[in-house]
This record gives sequence, structure tokens and C-alpha cells, in this order.
Amino acid sequence: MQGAELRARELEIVLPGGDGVGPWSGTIEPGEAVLIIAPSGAGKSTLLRALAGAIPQHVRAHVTGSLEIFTAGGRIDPVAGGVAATAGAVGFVGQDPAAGVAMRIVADEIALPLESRGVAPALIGQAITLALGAVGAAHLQDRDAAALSGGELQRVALAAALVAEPGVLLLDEPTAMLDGEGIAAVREALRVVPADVTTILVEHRLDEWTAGEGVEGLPSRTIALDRSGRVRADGPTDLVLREHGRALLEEGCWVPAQTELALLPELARRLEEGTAALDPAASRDSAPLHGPVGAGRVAAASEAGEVPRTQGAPAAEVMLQARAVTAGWGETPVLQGVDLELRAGEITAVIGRNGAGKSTLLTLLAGLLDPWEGEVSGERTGLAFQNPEHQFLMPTVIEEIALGDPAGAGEALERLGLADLAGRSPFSLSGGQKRRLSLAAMLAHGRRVLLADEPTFGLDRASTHEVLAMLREAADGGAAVLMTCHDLRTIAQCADRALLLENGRLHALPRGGTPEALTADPSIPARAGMSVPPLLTRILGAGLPLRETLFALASPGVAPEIPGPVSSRDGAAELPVAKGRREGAAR
Amino acid sequence: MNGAAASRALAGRDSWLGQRCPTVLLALLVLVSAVSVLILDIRTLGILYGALVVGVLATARIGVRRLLLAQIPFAGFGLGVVMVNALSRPGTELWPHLPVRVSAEGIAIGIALALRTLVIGVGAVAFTHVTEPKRLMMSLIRHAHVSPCYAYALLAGHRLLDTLPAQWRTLAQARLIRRANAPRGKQGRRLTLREHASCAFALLVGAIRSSERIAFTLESRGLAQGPRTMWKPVTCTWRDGAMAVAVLGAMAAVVVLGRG
Repeated sequence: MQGAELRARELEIVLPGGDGVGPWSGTIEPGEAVLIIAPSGAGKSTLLRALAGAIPQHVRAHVTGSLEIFTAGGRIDPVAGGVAATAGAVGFVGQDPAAGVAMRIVADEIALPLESRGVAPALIGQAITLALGAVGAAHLQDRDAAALSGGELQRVALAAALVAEPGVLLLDEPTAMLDGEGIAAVREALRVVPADVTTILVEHRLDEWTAGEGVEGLPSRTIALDRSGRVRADGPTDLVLREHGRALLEEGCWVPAQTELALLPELARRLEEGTAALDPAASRDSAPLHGPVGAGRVAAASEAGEVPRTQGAPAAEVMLQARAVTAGWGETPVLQGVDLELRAGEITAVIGRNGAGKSTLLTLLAGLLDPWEGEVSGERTGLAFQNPEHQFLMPTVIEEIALGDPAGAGEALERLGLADLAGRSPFSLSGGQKRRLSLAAMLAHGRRVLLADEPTFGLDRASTHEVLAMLREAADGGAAVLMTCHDLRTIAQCADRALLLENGRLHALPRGGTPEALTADPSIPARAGMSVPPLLTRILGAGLPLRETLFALASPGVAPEIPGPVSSRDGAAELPVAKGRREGAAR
Repeated sequence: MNGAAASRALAGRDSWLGQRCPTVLLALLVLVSAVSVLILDIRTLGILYGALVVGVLATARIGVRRLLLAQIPFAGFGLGVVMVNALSRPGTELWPHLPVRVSAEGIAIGIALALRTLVIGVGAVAFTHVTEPKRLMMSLIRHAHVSPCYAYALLAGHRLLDTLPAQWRTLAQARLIRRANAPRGKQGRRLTLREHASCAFALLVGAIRSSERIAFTLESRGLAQGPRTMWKPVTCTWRDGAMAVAVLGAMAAVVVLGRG
């Protein structure tokens, strides 16, 4: 099928809670590639689901204005026609790998859209082989979906979407729940999307998505939404990011590193100078610094000399200890000979590939799994699960905190910025709010050891930094923190050291496993299926401290130290900014 | 599904019975069950049960041990039925010196009902052992005119079911970690009634959300009413007809034999 054209006229979608997206008027031409960038809760996924016909059919919402898809076969109204009307023209790959593949056997999943379109049975087998081969998943054809990794499932979902030859391909954060290898697998798979297919991408982690290609690796056009779901800007990607990068950052969006650096010209200049003289050997000896600083302070601190980074220095109290522990599930050993000490004031990151046993390690340390051999001793731990919803026990937000700390619940909610939501169900919060609440609820129990399983997985920039700040505050308050993580930037910003879990064994890493050590030697994170973000290499190469530089890049609070707004290039067009206000739930 | 369970399932699906049309198998299972419900004669039901066990062992590659183990729930239920009838049904008292009254009629009817349970049970065990869910649904769409929308939704639900045990384990751990007292040892990790209810609610919320997403996925694959093709149709052959004739004939013979 040829690429389809999308037209919206004053399209506005308001969800029952009052959130929503629009009004949006615009056209997306056949074959055009569009990136939608917005903070969490701004309605990106809502817009994509509307294009796929799921609103209001699957998701209750009030829709005004018009939305049309024009294909070679005619006009489709996704709002009136629903998913059944769009299925022949629109392919969709969502966030949740498990929900994107409905059939048990991979080949059956790919066959389903072909059978639905009445393709002759004799042709289906060959089409399945071709579709899976195109996304690098030919070897998965007869596999059980339950045994596939997230990256493999997303490739299967993409093959199932593409095999029907859609005119429009909608990608709703397809890498949100994947590790580095999964992201790379999906990125490679997407290279086979025909050029005439209209593609709309919603994605948070743009640097991982482009694998260091920067803005050039993104779709050529970007639609930026503000927090209320209104269109902030719509135009060429480089122009949108240049003109609105600061606002997007301040609203909590991830933007490419080069956009971040453009907002910190002093830092960018130093990185440029440093990169020119990059010497990994020398950079390995660069000392990290301590304490939050802005762009200017990063430079000053770097020149000031060595300051110890780790508060949890060897002299700090050991809060939890594992000695020669072997453990597993049923009769299957998962962990072997694990030795570990967690110290007060220290944040330890455990890295490892999917299936290495990270979650089992946390379960063991939390006392929820008995060791087969060896011993775990020390303080009682708290454990924040990867999916916050799994640990919500109470009907309201405030009761969730009060379960651990009845007296301090109100104050804790004030600090979390959730006081207005005290009476709401925890299940009704946004992703970032749920994660913060689950951490705060665990911290409210007053445990001096906190374990966190992928605490920043799938979060936007603002929520990521809020969660990391909570972990740092806990450590600074004397807790020992251990977290699993797949993102080296997060580790560099937050953790004091990293340990590698590989084939069930926990390995100490060279030079104390500091983030600097991981960045300087990419072969170490590679053993955990992670890559080193080019930004970290540049920071280290410039001799700047990783954590403080990342803090300067991360915190909207440093904005006053950043020079004024970046001016448009000569001749650059003024970007259209949508007007109008949503009237909220009343509509 | 673990490795051993997977290999057992494969053995069943590769068996002679596993190669038969699932729609025919299902129809025969329903028919045998329905006929057994009409019979209250111990001898007839005993012969029917024996014939079914022999037939299943000969054609389903299930093995005596697995067949016996799979019938434990049915046997337990049957035992309960025998006891209830023996103790509650009026009739000739067998052991007057016992503190409870046990009637001969109650035992007879109880045994008959228990055998009926076992007859239905052995058929159900054999059917689930040899039938692959996808093949069953494709067969029902083709031969029983079941709507593809229902059939594929059931298949997707079956896949969702596989994820629930792991989710339950995580939910249970999340409740244990938030207890005031540390969950030491297996005893300490037993959930309270309230915790069970909380787990069940969270599991239900998660399952509903997952099912909504899966429903969208199915529909976006074009699943709807209307003409469609089938990549691997399940056909009915003369062997299925022969099996049906054999089963029906054997059942008629058993009924006659039981009365004789």
C-alpha cells in the first residue's frame, strides 16, 4: 500500500479525567516521518490511539473536530469507524511488548493480519518468512511468544504490523520497556520500513533511539506538545528543538544531547575542547566531584581538584551483607557464590543482561527468598518493584504512605508534590507519580536498606530526575541503596559504583566500578548489554565530572545560570504555536 | 510451561488421538459425558470407564502414571459424592452399630455418581492432553462455525493466563515486604486472607488492562466479522469418521452389555 495522508481539523480529545490533547489542525503528507515529543501525560499516546481508531471505541473520551486518513483505497474516519476501519491502513506498535503479540506462536501472530485480509493460504507461509526475515526475526518463527525477550516481541509486533502493508505506521514508545539491546534490535528492524509509509513516532529516549546520530537520526518533522496537550510547535525537527528545546527540557522531556548542550554553551565549549584532546587513559584518572552544581560551577569544580565522590567510603557502616550465597527458584540455580556488602550512604547499581538474575538478587536480599547456601545478614530491607502498581495496597495515596508512617504521611506527600492527590487511588496516578509514590511508601517504613528494581524504567526526564533525587536523598540520609538499571546515564548521574551480574555471578568491576570506569571502558557495560552514550564519553574526555555535569544538564533548576534563549538561525521560519485552551473535564 | 510439561504436551499432540479433528473429539467428549449422565448403573459405568481408560492409553501417549495423577481431582470429588450419598440418602442401614447411618442405596448411587465423574474426567484429561488450543479453535471456526472473534479472543486469553502465576508471585512478595514483621521462612511468607484479597484485586486490575490492550492488538490485526482465509485449516478425514463410529459403537455395546 502507498503512504497515507492524515488530516486533522481542530481535533481535540478530552479524557474523562480532564487530560487530553489538541486542538490540532494539520496535515501529514504520504511518506512523511513525524516525531511527537511531549512531557508525560500530554496526550501523545492518546493522539496515536485516536489515529489508530481506538478512541472513543476502546478508550472513552470526548472527541471534537475531524480526523481523516486518505489512502489509495479511499477516506477513513478513525473516530467514527474505529479500529476495524483503520486496521487495513494503519499499523501500530505500542509500549508493552507482551500486549503487542496476542498469539502464542510467532508465526500465528504474523498470519493473523494476512488471514484477516483474505490472503490465499498458499501465500501466507512465504509472507510470514519474508516479514520476519525483514526485521531480523526469522529464527523466531516457530517460537513461543512467552519465551521471547522484550526486544524480540517488539520485532514480532513490527513484523505483524508491516506484513499487512500499512499506509501509516504508528510507533508509540516502542522502546520504553526495553534494555539497550532491545532498543538496538527495534531500531535495526525499523530500517526496513518502506520510504513511502507515513510514520509517526512517539519516543522518550531520543539519544538511545538515534544511537548517537543526534538530531539527524530523528524523523525530519517534529510536533511538540506542551504539558496540557496543546501543540507547542510543528516544523522541521532541528528547528523545533532549537527554538523550543529549553521549554521542552523544563517540562521534563528528554531531548537529544546536542540540544541539551546547546542550552549550556559554556559546557558545550568545554566539551568541544576536551573532546579534541580526548585521551581515555588520562580521563580514567580524572577525579569525580561532589555536590550539585550548574554549568559554570561544573567547570570551576573540575578545576578545583579531587574531591571524594563516594559518601559510602569503605569506613561506612555495612548495612547488608551476603556471603557466598547460592540461590534459585525450584531446582534451577540463578545466583551462585554471591558476595556483597551494602554500606550506609552509598548507591550501588547492579547491571546485567535481561535474565541475568537481577530481580532474583533483589528478592534474595529482601529476605523473600532463602539462600540454598551462604548467608544474608544485616538490616531489614525495603524493596521497590519495577511495576509500582504491584505494591500498592491501600485505596488512597495518603493511606499508602501512612501504612509505613502514619504520622508523617501528610508531610511526605507535600514533599513529593502529591498532596493534592492524597485522596486519589494510587492506580489513577501518572507513571512518574506512581513510581515516586511507590518509593516514598517504601521509604516510609523507615528501612535503612532500600532496594529498587529498575526505578527509572520508562519514565520521562522530569520523573527520572525526581526518582533519582529521592534515591540520593535516602542515601544521604544514611540508607544503603541498591538499584538495578539498564541506563548508563542514569547510573552515572546517581550511583557511586556498579557491580556486574553475569551468568548468576556478581562481579566487582575494575577501579571500584565507578561510572567513570564504565564509561572509559565500553567493554564492561557491553557485558551487560549496555552501550556508552556518546555524551558520557564526551564529558569524560573533556575531563569534567560525570555526575555534576549530568546534574547541570538535567536540572531545570540551573536554568538561571544558562545564557538567554537560543536565537533562530538566519532566515529560519517562525514556528507556528497553537492557540486556544482546553476547557477541561466539563467538556 | 516448563520443559517436562512441554514435552508431555508434544507427545500428546503427536499421538494418534492428537492427530484427529478436535471438533470431532470435542463432540464425542460431550456425547459420552451426556450419555453417562443418563446412566446410574454401576456395572455399565464401570465398563464404560474401563473402556475409556484402555482407549486413551492406547491412542493418546499419556502413560498410566500421568493418567492416574490427572484423575486425582476427579477421584477426590467422586469420593466426596460417595460419602455424601452414603450418609444422607435414606435406605437400608448397613452398619447399625456405627454412630452415623450408612445406607446401601446411598453407597450404590454414590459409587455410580463417582464413576460418572471419572468417566467425564478421563475424557476431559485425554482431550486436554492431545488438543493444541490453536488447532482446536481453527477447527471450531471451520467445522462448528464458531466466530473467529471469539476463537482468537480465547486464544489471546489463554496466552494471558500463562503470565498470571509470575504476576501473582510478584504481588505476594510486594505485600510481604511491606509487613511490619520480616517474612522469615516459609511460614512467615504465607499470605493472610486480606493479603490474598489484595493480590487478587491487583491481579484482576492488571489482567483487565492487559486484556484491553490485547483486544486492541487483535482488532488492529484486522480481526473482525467478515470473509477471511485460514493459513493452516484443520481438516476432517475418514479416520475421524471411523473414530466416531468406533466410539459410538463401543458405547452402545457397553450400554447393552451393562444391562445384560
